Amino acid sequence: MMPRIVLLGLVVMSLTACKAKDLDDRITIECPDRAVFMDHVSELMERRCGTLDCHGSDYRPMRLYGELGLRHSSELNRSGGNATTVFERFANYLAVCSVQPEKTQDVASDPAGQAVNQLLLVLKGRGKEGHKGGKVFNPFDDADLCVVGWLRGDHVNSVRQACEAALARLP
Amino acid sequence: MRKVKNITAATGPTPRRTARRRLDLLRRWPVWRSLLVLFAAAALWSSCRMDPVIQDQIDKLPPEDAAGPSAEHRAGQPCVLCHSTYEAAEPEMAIGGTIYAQDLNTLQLAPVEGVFVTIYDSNGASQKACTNSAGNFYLETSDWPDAAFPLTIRVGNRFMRSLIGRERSCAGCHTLATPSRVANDPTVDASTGQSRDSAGAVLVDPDNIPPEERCGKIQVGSPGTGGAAASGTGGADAGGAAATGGAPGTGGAAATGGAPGTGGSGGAGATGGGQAATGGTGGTP
Repeated sequence: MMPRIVLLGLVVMSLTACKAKDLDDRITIECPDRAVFMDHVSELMERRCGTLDCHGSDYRPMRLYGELGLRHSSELNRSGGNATTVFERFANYLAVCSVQPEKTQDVASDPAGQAVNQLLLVLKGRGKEGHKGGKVFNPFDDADLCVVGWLRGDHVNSVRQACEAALARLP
Repeated sequence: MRKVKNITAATGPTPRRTARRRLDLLRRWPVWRSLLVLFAAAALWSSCRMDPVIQDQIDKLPPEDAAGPSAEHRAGQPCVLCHSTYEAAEPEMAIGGTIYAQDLNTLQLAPVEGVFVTIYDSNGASQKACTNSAGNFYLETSDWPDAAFPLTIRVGNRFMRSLIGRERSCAGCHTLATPSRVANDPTVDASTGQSRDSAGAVLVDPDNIPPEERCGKIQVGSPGTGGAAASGTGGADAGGAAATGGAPGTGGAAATGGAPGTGGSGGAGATGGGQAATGGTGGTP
């Protein structure tokens, strides 16, 4: 009797294991505060990272849109023309969150943890991971506090101040 | 030794002996070894040199100006594609580009000669280059081997608003208008080439350049001189291209001829004589 039960259990297990994933399945990834990114962080990343020859290119990962860089294909703006649109800043948010969705979620769910220091976004920005654009910021400088502060969920005012200070240094 | 050879001949070569004989051959004829080394080096060289991305961009460039390579050739095209370690065109350039002025009435582009282009690197160093009659300027790599990116640039009294992250050719981002770009992208400005993914031609106001930013007399070429944005013959879109035909400084124009989608034979003005043709003359459907 027992062997039959075991056999039945194995059959059931194998059937459920082989059940194909629905291609329309969606997962939800938690990412740090959208409003803070769109209002403050996006502009710094547009200017510092999103130039036409770097992340402001259709052909590179973490594609960033911006007034002085690439414009979104669903709008009719030109590089150097109108200001960055809300739609473009939202696209930037999605791009940044999607670099490492699961790890970004780890950061969002535990902002005080060490996960933020392991994100590619931070490692590449700090020059600790291979990055064609080299080191973009040093730990605890304004640009670092802007990006990492947003990821860590720092108060919006401190993120804003850091982003504005970093932007002021750009041409 | 002779005895051994005879035995081998009598019993037939074993695989081990054959291998030994081959080794002997190698030792006896060092030319074989030389050939092998040469072959390996050639294979290594060809594999290192082949970058499909860069090669594709080079292949899409329009034909060379009729007068051949010079400091004035291929205005508006990405200089450092070829003037690099990859293609090894001389001189190797640290940075290079073309400066234009735009006639506000006709909207045509014309090269600007005699203006300083100042490049600042991230370490606080800077270098200056002067534009020639085609509007071209460049700095050789030997003049600035350690330029630290990102760079910023000033032309005359006009600062570029964004950083240069890695691109050494201005035309890499400042792509000019070409018939196919105009046809395929509704955001392309048919005169300057500015679009969603291009900053368009690098423009200065020649009447507003301070004396200290001039290197000689400021001269604006007639529209269409010193290379152009279109060949007018349809077909290849070189991502900011030169006129076909005409000597440097004479041929071509900021021509945007060739009606969208035709790829036809229109685009008058790009060939010869410095004719300027914005808007072109259509093209056969």
